[in-house]
Amino acid sequence: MLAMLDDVTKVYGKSYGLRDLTLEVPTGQVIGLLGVNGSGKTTLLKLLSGLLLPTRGQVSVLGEPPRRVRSKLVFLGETDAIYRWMGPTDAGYLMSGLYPDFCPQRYRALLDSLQVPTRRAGAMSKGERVRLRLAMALAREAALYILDEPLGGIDLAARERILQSIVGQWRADASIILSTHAIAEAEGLFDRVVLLKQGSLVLDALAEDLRERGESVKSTFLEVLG
Amino acid sequence: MKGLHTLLWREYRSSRGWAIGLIGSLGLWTWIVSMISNEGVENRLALRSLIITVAFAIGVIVLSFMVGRLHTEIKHDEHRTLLLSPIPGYLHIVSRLVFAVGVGLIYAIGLGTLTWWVFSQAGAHLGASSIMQLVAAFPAFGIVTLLMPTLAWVLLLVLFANAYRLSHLTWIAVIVMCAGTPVSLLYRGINGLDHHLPVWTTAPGITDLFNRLAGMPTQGEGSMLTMAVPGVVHYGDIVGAVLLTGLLVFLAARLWEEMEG
Repeated sequence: MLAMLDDVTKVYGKSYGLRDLTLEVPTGQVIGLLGVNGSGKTTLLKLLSGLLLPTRGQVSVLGEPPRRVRSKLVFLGETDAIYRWMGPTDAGYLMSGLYPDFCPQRYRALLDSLQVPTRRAGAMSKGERVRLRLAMALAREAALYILDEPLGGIDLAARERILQSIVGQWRADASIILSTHAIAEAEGLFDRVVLLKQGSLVLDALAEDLRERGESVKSTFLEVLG
Repeated sequence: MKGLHTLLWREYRSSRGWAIGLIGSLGLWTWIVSMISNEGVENRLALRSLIITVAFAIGVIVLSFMVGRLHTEIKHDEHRTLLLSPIPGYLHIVSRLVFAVGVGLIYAIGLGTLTWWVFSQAGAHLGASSIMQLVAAFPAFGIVTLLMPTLAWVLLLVLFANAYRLSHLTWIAVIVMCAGTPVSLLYRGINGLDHHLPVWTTAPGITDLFNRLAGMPTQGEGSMLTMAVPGVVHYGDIVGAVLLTGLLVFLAARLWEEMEG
């Protein structure tokens, strides 16, 4: 098993971010993590990446606490977090110095396919910055890619390019967990769908099974959470 | 080593505006000092020394703000690329400290040179070896005993506040606690070590000048000069400050490893 959350609860002050959640992530899957705002998606992804520590329960990636295997994890957060002085060349230099699995050739190819401009991040639009951050993230050869809302606030044309890049970088020895509200565009990507509601798991199903039943991910989402 | 090199490069790219501004201000301080032309050697010397002391203090404050911008990085989640990297926490802290101390060193050597000029103008008999020693005394005394522990403390404070998501009210308690700890440790260290370690007389010509000024009517100004210029550096101060900086860096590195993002 690539990653596992075992009966995990995360409490923020008096409110629950996640409640008694158990989830297994095998190798080679693209998992769609879905839920309305505040359902616990970001908390789950941060726990898996090691950015948060569970209040109760255990989180492991490759059998270790996530922080011990940081070199095997990619986390792309939903916030617009990038140094404003940094252009694509600076970003490539920084990433290759920090992450041994960063592949400069793949990074350059991603910059081209995502049409990232060469100017510094501070002078880019939000969508351009997201594409730069995605190129930085996907140019790594990690075991688990954790992508939190990479399509949020992005125009349709750019969404298509981003989704194509994610598909293009998929490897059989790695898994991708993708949280998104753009279900209709992304559902073709998913091998498996995990739905959260108020910090609890309400559905964990293979996308193929849904399709066999004549249901789409979007219709299931609306049925379960609507 | 590649990780440290990359982190130093990041720090340079992020903070070069601050560094260039501070080092560039040496021109301003030189101009201000050269404009002072009071009657009387000791008055002129006292005023010029005071300005150099103020310049050094401003340098420490500017560099503290420079490293304290880590708070803004954390607030905007910009630090995540660093936090999630497999580079050990202490390298992240050390890189920030090394860059700021490097900038401080250039600044202090500039002020040391200015001090040498001021004392030469005042009639101190400074030989070639004294020039080097005086220029070196500023970094040894000012950088090691003041700047290094201060910057390490600022980094620890910023990480502490962000790791535990402190509110505005608890900030006050934390500042009092964190300010008190290094100061008390430093004084305990200095008092304990000073008796056992030798002293370094940086420039005998300056000590002679102090002795001459101490005999003059302007005795208060003479004692102020001894504060402005380290004529004698106690090795105990340096050892104590290095130990304190090491402790603060260790704690900051632990917090970097443990903090949530």
